[in-house]
Amino acid sequence: MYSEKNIVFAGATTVFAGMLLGWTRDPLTIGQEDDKVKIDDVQQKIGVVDVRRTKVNFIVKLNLYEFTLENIQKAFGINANVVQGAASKTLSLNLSGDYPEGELLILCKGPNNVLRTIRFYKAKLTDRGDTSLDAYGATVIPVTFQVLVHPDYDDLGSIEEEYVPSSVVID
Amino acid sequence: MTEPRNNFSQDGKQYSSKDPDKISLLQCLGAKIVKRDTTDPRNIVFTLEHNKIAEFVDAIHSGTLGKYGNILRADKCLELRKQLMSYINEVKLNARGK
Repeated sequence: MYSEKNIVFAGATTVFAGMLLGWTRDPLTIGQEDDKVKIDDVQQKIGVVDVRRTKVNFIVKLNLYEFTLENIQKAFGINANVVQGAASKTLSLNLSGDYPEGELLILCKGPNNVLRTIRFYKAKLTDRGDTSLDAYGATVIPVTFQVLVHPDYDDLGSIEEEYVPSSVVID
Repeated sequence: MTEPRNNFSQDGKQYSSKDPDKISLLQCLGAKIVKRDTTDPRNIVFTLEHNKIAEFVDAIHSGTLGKYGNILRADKCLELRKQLMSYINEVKLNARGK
């Protein structure tokens, strides 16, 4: 079961654990992935609904520009080096290890030029695309974060919107 | 409905924010901190100044920082953020001691 909704209309700048990770001109995706169980699978059927949600995953997907691999390496304390190939760069990730979790900050725009700051209190890198994509004449790397509940806040994060005054033209 | 907030000065050369990440990014691009409002020690508001400050803020929120090339370096931004956080924590500690 998977559903996703794109909530960002423009590009964004990404900061993870205080480290500038990079930026993207592509819209990024914030999605929700549900693990559900059918009560039919359980012998003793109790309750009126036959499908129940057991787990919810919030994920953030975005395409970062390639040179930010060095930033990812620093931000996550990865021992492997960035390998320069003929046409692309590669950073090997072993996701079985312990990678630091940190605050994920996404600085982007909303409708009517509203400056939007999405702050996830705790996030973890869960996936990096194996292949890079060509977009806008540059190579970008797909990166996925999983958003976790921060124990201190008991919350996923917050969204702040800042209205740009009409006297300032920033096109 | 939320009232629109004006974080830019009238001439558009100054911009106020309390977000250390955004401030360090703007500093990295060349903006200077010209004012620190410590009225609320938990939410210190920094005012930055630069002729292109509106353009910088727009680039941060549009994902077009790449056009500034090598000016924006992750390690430099991190160092500026550390300095900023050190100051913010010091103000908080001083306020707690009073």
